[in-house]
Amino acid sequence: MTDAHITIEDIASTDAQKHVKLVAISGQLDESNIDEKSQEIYTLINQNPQGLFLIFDFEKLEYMNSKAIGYLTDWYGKVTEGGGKIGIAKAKQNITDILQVVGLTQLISLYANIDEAKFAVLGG
Amino acid sequence: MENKYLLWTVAGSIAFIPAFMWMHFLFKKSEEKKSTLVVMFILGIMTVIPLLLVQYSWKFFPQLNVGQIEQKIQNVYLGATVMYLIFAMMEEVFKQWLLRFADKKWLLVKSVNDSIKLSIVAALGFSFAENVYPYFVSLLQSGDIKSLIGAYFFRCLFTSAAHIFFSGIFGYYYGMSKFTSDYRDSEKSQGKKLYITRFICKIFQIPQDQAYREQKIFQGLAIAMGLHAIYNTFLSFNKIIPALIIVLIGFSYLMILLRRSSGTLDLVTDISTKTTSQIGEKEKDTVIELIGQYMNEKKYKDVIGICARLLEKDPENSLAKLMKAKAEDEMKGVDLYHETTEIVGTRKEVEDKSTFENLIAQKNKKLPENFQNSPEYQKFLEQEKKKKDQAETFKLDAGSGGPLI
Repeated sequence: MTDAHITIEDIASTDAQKHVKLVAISGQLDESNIDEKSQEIYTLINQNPQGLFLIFDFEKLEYMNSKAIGYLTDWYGKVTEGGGKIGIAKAKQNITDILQVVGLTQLISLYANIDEAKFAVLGG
Repeated sequence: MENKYLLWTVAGSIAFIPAFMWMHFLFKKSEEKKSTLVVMFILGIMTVIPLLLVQYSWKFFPQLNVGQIEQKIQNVYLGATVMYLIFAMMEEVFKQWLLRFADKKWLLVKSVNDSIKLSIVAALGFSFAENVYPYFVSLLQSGDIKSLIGAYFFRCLFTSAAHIFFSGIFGYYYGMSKFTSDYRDSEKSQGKKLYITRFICKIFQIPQDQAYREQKIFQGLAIAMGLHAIYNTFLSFNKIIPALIIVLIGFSYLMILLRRSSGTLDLVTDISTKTTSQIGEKEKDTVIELIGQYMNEKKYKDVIGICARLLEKDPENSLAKLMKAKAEDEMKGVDLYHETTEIVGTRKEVEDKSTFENLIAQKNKKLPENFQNSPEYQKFLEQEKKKKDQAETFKLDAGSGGPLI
């Protein structure tokens, strides 16, 4: 199985209705691990069906396969359905290329750093 | 008619009229060069020569005579089927050889539709020659005008349409074989396992590209020969209706194939003008995989959008062009089912299950561009800094507040 790690961190929010999480993904998301790893995000979404604000930190994400893109789209759908938002920060060029071509950047904005992502997702 | 020259001239002239009309009907809007069509037509006429030579050789090798083989088979139906299958095989083999020869020599096939059209022209040439001799010459010689008129209309309409269909189908498969890498990759991206290709690869110890190419050529030839044999057998037993049904459905199917955008794509890559891709190979593979997945899930709008964006980064990507055209064909419903329902007046709308398009439509709030320069964002940054400072102070306080022992 290819190495991939997900760490989830709470971000303090002034609004109690908003559950803000910083999800850092590192390594490679491919066929060998994506189904298993995606469950961590689904658990998070299930625990916070309403008002979930996800900021993905892709600084250490090296590769994502087509299935990972499919999951990301699905998470977007679920999170926005519950009134939440998703933002992606610090994605590498190859990841940005994939997301742009696929069209996901029309749905999920990319940010240069975590602060920009936080502002956009929470306050923008 | 006693004058032989006159006989052949009349037979040739009356056989040329329908051939010309078919050519006009099929290629009036075509971009194919007229000279290319004429050359292929003449070469198509010449394909009867090897057939006549084979038949002539039976005089010396009667044991090879198909008629004798038929007589040795007890069951009349089986005997006729075998005989017509052998005839069909010979005709189709020579016609397909012609297309392959012409393309190898002059590089005529630049798209799948080119392949279909050239194959059709060769078939019309063959059909023209077959109509002249033996049919029209013998009927003119017999002086049986009633039979001549009946045979004329039947052969000019249905037999020609049948030849067009059989050869067109082969042309379609030959076109796919010519652009092996694009068609094979598009099938692969849609999750097709290509068991036959892999089997051929293993048995003949050849590369996968070559195996796929040979498979498609054989597939096209087998379908053309099989249908031709069935058509001939029906006719030999005077089963006109089923024979006509085969031709009608097959011809309609061929016309639909010719209308597909994916068929008109010029897939020949000019290496001298090839631009560099702005996306990595691994990333491209990921996107292509997703495109295949979305095609299977009937997310045609998404496929079209993704392919268009991929082509912006990699303009020469012929696989993206092909998949985009295929999705457009699916969206338009250019297939036998949708076209038939249109004729009957019960056209069904094409089902599209695209997700991105729907999600984009749902997306309601958008951040203004360059928000990083806005006072709101600067204020937000200050607040964040304050929070961090407070947290740091808290940590320090907690550290200094402990026991000092």
